[in-house]
Amino acid sequence: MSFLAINHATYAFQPSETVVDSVEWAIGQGEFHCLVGRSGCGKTTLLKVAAGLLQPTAGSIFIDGTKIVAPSAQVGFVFQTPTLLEWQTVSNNILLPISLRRTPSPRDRQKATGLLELVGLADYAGRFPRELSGGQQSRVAIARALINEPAVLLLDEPFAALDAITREELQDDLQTLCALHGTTVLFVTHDIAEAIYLADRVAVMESGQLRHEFTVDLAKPRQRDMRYSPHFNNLCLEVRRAMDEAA
Amino acid sequence: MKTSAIRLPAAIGLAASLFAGGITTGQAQKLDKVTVAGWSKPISEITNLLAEPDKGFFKARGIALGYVPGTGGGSAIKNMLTGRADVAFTDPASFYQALDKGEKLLAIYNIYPQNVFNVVSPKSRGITKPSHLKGKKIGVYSLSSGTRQNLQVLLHQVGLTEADVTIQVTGLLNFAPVIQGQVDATAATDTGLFVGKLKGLKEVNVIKVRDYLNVPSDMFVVTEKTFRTKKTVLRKFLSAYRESAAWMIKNPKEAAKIAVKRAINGRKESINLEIIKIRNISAVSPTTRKKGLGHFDLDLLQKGADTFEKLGLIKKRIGISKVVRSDLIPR
Amino acid sequence: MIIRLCSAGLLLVLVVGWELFCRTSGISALVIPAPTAVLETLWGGLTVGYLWPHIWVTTVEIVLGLAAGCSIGFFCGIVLGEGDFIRRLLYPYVLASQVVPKLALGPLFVIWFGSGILPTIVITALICFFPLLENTLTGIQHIDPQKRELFRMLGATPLQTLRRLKIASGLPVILAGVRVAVVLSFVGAVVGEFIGASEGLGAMIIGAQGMMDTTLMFAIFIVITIQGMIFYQATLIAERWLLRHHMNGTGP
Repeated sequence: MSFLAINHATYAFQPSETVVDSVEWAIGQGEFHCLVGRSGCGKTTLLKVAAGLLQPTAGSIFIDGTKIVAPSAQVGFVFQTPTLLEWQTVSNNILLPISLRRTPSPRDRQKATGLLELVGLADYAGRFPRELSGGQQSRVAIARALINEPAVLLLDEPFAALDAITREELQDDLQTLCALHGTTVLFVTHDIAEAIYLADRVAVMESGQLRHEFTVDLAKPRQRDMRYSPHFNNLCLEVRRAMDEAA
Repeated sequence: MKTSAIRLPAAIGLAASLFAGGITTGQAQKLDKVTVAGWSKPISEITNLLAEPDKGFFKARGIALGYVPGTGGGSAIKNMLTGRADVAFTDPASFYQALDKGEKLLAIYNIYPQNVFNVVSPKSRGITKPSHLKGKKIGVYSLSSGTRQNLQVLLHQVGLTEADVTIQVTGLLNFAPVIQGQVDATAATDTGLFVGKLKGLKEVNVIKVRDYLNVPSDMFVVTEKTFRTKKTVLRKFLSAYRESAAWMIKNPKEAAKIAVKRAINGRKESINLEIIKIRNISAVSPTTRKKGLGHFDLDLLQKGADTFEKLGLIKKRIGISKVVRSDLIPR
Repeated sequence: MIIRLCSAGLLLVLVVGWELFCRTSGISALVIPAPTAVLETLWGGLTVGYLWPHIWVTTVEIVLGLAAGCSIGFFCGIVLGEGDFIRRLLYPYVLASQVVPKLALGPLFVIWFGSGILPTIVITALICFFPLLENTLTGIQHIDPQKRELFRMLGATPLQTLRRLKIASGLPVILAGVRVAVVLSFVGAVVGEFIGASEGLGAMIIGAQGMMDTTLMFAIFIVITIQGMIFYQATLIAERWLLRHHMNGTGP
């Protein structure tokens, strides 16, 4: 029984311009799936359809049996850039999903503090985004997406602009956070190694269609050194080949 | 969540009502309100009106006096016609022109029977008669000002027209171009000349318009309707005005002192005194000495109207006897 | 610090030069008054007190005109910014109306609103209106698309998006409009008084003009300049405080 079901989802800006072409995919509860593809293959659009930000021109998305027609608190989204509000403190940024619905309670604030601790930013609650580095801002963005403990987390290449080492640290942080509540995750990236490191399953997307799917048989939780093992490399090669084929 | 910029409390609006311009006296319920639309801001020349809070001439006759500032005689009539004022303190030229446009107006009091306008030039230019103005450059306050109109009247008296001279608009600081030699002469007033001399205007020749055609300078004008419906109030108003004018003539020093406080240009008492004295002179004439302050010389007014018609400044002939009423002027 | 001293030094040199010029060239006080005479008049006006009522009147007009013009401009900016149809319908007319010089409307306002401070307040408000309208409109329209999407994702209502995203994000631009309005309000109030007012610094200028009292005019200019700079600095300080967290870009 899939938790996040993408049923023949199609999205076209205009009748002649199909960006997502009848994608069929199922993600089980608590699973971490990655979508790899080159720029312009439609992966971001697919993600937005799954989030409810875009309405599919054909097909549908279901989460836990409910059809998705609009953004909901069930789904957390992390954008390509941290997109924090510069005029709010880190803590208030994290609480934004809550403060838009009601006044945050002390319990909410505690949750925010907890998330900050988990990502190693406990002292930054009262700071402002401009005082944070890129990596730190990304952590805050993830914390914000998780404050409501959503069942599903969607991420759109959130670490693309960061340096390699920071990226690796954030990938580990993300793993930890998602494992906490068994969040179902769909992670879009153009980085093959990142996809392999994070995912249970990897799919390759090209020209709006899903071409290949792989199961990643590495132990969870992932360890840093796994990145440099031969098995890991082989998996990367497989995906790379699949991308070449798809093109 | 901070949203917009600073906003000030509307409580300041209270202060606004305290400054709703003009002079008002208290106990308005028992008094008849008469508002004068003036041709200027509250300046020292009209201290007899501005001194009302101190002297109470109008209040003593049951009038609550108001004043609405203006920018020229035309604006005074306009303000009166919009209902903002009951009486206009205006000049004959504006009066003729309003009549020509079809407004139903009546002149009821001759405020300054003497013409106060002149043409001033440095002695070195040798302009001693109006005929010398031919071909010269002459400054005026503005194209719609009394200085220009009276210059036209002056030229007409010696058979010249504006085409025979060059008119230059100088604004109110009209002696600067003369001092600096940018114009040969400037059309001004008696008080303007006095102030100009204080500011460095050296030896000059003065041609007084009144030596050629003594059209009065200012009169009180009302609409026919006001005249019909408010005769008693207007009588009281004119009595009070005459008293205030007489007071200013008898007590220029006292008036000069009051002008420091009440007039917007009154900061120097000595200057106020001279200006008030000059204005006092223009308020008397042989006719007023015989009949009393405020009486008209109808033939002079008629000549003025006819000149205006000949100059093309008005289209229809005005019969002065029909638009001037002397019956409200106190005995 | 050196620059400030040089700046002050420059001013001193200019003033001294001006004074010497007036004393030696024999030029009439009508054309250019000497700084000493101007300062004397200014000092006299402030200590004897005849300037203060007029300063107060003009200040009241500026403050009320600013408050009215900025509020209405801000509000209209929001309405036009949020309502696509209304904006396309009304904006051409708003623009056309702004091209008419407000000061030319002065005499008309005196007829409509009487003399006293009301026409001046209306002129000042009209002058402050457009910078606020334009800047609010720009401020709330030029929003980071990702932030817009964020708010959509979080299920924010249009009103919430307006308050917490658009206005908050557009605040720097909006406050720049306020700063412009503050400067313009001085022009509006003083020149507006030329026509219909019996009191205030603009009315005093007219009175001084009639008396050819150029010295007094200069003294009044100094008052207006100093007051304008005080207001501007105050606005700047308030703006800096309101925008203290608004700096963009990542940190260290």
